[in-house]
Amino acid sequence: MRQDIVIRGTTRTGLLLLLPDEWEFPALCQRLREKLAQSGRFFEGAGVTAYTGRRVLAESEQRMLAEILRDARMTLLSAVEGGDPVAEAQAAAKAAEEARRASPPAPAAPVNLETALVVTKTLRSGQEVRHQGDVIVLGDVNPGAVVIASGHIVVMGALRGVAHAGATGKTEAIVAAAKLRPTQLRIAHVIGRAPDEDSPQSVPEVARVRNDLIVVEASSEKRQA
Amino acid sequence: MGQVIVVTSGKGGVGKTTTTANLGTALAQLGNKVVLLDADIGLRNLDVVMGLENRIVYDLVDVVEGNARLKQALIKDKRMENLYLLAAAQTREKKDVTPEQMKDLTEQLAREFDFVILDCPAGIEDGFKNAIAGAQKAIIVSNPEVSSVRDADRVIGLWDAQAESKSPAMLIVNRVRPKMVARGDMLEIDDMLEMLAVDLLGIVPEDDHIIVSTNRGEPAVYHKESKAGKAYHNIARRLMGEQVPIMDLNADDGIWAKFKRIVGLSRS
Repeated sequence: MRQDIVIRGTTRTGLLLLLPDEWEFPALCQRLREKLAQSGRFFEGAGVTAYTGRRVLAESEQRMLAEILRDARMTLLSAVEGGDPVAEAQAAAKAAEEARRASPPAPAAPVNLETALVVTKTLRSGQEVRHQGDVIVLGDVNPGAVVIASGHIVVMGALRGVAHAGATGKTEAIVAAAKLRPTQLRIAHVIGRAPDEDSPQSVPEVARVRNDLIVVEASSEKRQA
Repeated sequence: MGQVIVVTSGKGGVGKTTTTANLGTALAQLGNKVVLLDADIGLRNLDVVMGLENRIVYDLVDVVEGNARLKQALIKDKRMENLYLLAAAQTREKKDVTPEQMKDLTEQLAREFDFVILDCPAGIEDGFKNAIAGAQKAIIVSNPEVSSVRDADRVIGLWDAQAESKSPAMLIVNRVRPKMVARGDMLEIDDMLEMLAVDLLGIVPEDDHIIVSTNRGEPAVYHKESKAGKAYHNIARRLMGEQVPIMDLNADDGIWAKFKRIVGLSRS
């Protein structure tokens, strides 16, 4: 079945008219007249932007289109080549996302248990842990507490204080927490802080450096890729 | 041996002295032999709140330095037979006393009293170290407010870092305004407990009686109609090992609510 003409409201430019490629121009005009007749006075007074697909409208054809619209008391604002702009934007975003997934960040080296420090209590305000290697905290890191490690930092509870992973310049270090709500995050030379508005999600998250920015994502996301 | 309990908070102005005075009085009302010890040397307040300022002859530093015997320095409360106060020195400094001296002093007091309650100064310096030295239990007072909770967390950390023989800190959330909590304008008590990870000893509502009673030198627990006084009474009973449910601050106390309760329209 051939694709039909689409008339759709948009927020910015009034109506949007999609002209499918597979129709001959006269048939297209015929169908448009029918459609407009069906919708009665519904579109009356609207400005229309026509998307012509791969078709290039001749000047006479464009005049014809404008006339058909004028008969239905509508104005042709412009006729542009190309398909549905919304669908195209979505497709572009999807392609970008796929490209991102196809090249995942370099995987972080696994936690080295030989040199890892395991902190078995909650770190409270004013308490600081510094360690050459990875740090695992079996508890929370409260606001005002600081964890500094040359390797990764993993917090099994809530991280609400300051964490500095890869402190000696290791940019592939990560900070992971069951509840990642840090006052500030630092990985190697990159500093990030929590957004000023609270984001109330509580899934385990991982922070890592990507393009010199600290990026936070759900820890399960990596496995799907 | 009696219990030695320090009342502390880190931050100033959250209600340590008020809590000490009211808890001490409530414990005495419940039949315990209680001594209150003002560890805020140089900035003493507890005597004023208790209305005993004009009876001070000897103070804590006099005892520690041997200028007075402990018995001489203990001031008997004007209302309760079994309640005593050891005042802080006003003209001296915190470093005039050492943690060891405080430990000896509280040990001596614990032999004679059921409860020794120390009113800790604000801050985490010498005065704080002195006050916690001899205590086995700590009551942390915090307001439902971010800076106060932050300081409470710091103090709990310092308390935990001591010897293992000390029992875990307990929390009193003071000056709670139920309507503001309900509106979400104050920190939720559950959120405070989640972060501080300590046991809740009690919730004390904001109460105008406190200001009046402080100025009169008469703790709020003497006032039957004071909600804060009632909350302190409940806390005193919890300290004695009783199971007392946390008071519902949202309970309406108007005439209409009482009427509804009588005719059985309301559950409380």
